[in-house]
Amino acid sequence: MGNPVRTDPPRPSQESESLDTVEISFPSSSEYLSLVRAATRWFAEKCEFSEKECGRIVLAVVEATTNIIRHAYGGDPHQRITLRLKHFDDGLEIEFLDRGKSVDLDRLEKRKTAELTPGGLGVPMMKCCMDDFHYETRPGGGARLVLRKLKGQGGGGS
Amino acid sequence: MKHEVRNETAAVRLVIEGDVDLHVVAELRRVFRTTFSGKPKLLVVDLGAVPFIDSSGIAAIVEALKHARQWEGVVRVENPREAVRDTFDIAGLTAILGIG
Repeated sequence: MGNPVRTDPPRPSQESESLDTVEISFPSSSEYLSLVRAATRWFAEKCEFSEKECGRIVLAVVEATTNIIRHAYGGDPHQRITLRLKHFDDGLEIEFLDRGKSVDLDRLEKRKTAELTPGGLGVPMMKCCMDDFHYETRPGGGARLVLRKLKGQGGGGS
Repeated sequence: MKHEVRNETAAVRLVIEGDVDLHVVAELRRVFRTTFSGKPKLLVVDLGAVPFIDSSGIAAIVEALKHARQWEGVVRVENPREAVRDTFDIAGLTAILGIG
């Protein structure tokens, strides 16, 4: 686990126009994870990622959404999560917006090796699946997480 | 998520069906607790009918493995689909869960 992942924006696709964007907003309830999976898979397939890459993109998006539900909103199912899926020439970008409390990702990423602990897997798995990972707090509260996956790169193989 | 418990000659087989994520993980933990009431020496978690598992599902299985060690029991994952196996690979847990 632990492919090198860039955590510093910007990158070229940020400066170019998205070919296609889908935005969904849903309650912060785990019952919507199946919707998130279906929408992400559809979009990743549309962006022509391989089957394995699509699976890893879906996994990363579910992990990110789960973190927002559990940690940013503390399990409150009545808040909102916005998910933006953007298709670029060189890959895709997934943006998560919430209005929850900020999250200490270093604390969540406590499991850095293959030690046998049941927690702390989500963030390292997310980073392993994607090529870029950027987290920032938002003015007025909440956070913005951006995950990027480039075609033909590591972080999931092809 | 659906599940079925089968008592085999040398093991208890827990067959899980459906996606395993945060939404069902509490139920999965309940299933493990119930299955462990007889302190089986070998619990086989059959994931052949699981299309997707996330870190919360994996965490529940790791918890089960650690729980079973209290009576020297073993938890083994069998029949993962390619995508599910890839998730265990990413987590670095294929060997410890006996995934061949």
